Amino acid sequence: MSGANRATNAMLAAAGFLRHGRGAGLQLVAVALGLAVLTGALLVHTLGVRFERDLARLVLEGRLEVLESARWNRPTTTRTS
Amino acid sequence: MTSRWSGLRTAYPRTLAGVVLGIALLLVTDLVLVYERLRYGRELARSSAAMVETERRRVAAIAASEENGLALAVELARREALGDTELHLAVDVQRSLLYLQREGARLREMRVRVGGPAAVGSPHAVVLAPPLGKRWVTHVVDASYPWIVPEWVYLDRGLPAPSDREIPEALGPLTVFLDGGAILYSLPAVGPLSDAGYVLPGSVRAEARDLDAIRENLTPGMAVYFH
Repeated sequence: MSGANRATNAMLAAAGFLRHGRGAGLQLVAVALGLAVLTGALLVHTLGVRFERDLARLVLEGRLEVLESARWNRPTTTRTS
Repeated sequence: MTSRWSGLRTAYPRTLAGVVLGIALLLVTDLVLVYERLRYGRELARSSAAMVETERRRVAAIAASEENGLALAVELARREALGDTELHLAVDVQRSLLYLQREGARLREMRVRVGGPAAVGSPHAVVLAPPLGKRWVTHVVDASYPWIVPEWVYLDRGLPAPSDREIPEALGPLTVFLDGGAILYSLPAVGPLSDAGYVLPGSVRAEARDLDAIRENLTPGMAVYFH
């Protein structure tokens, strides 16, 4: 079986799953997608609170130089020098 | 209704199992995230309570001004895993654990008891609470150190305070004094602290064998992080 045929069969199987049982499969996938979005939002929110906690610790411990150093090492920082 | 799902299970057993497994994994992840969120919130509240107003404003200002806070949060989390490059102690007050660690590597984990906050002394009571943030070891003494037991310790314990309160070994075989007045000690055999159910307010009591095991590493100037 060629790659194109396999892909076509997989798409047909997925479509069949979604339509099956008056859309039961579709409902299940919708629940999964909704949960994935919720998980993503929860992850971002939790990281935000953790960031504030880390900041509070650095301020309390007088180690704000760690923050400055972290700014230069985060993945998205663009260095111009 | 039941036939819809049983039909789906019959027609697509593996796909259905995969989707259900995915949903279960997402639910477990959500539960873990909610637990962590609550824990971070509690720790943040404790830190905020220990700050003065200007420090609180500083934290809020930095958090609000960060354009890419998420990436910075990830980098800080990574650094926390790396930790201090010097050998240091860390006290997790909530979990009652003391760590000897360097660069995030935990060399020893020790169970401790942290003395809760208490208002001591009279007529002007002072609240002694567990430290928060960074402290330093000022000096380390052995059993021969003649500690003059403060009068408030006897009062706090409901014991009559003797006139001579200089008691050798009143803090156990090895004691670590920190700046700010907190003490890291172990259960002594004599004196008012010899009750296993009592921990000196604002201080930390460890097992004598644990302190003895890390004795060589305890030096003045060593950092102790309370969080």
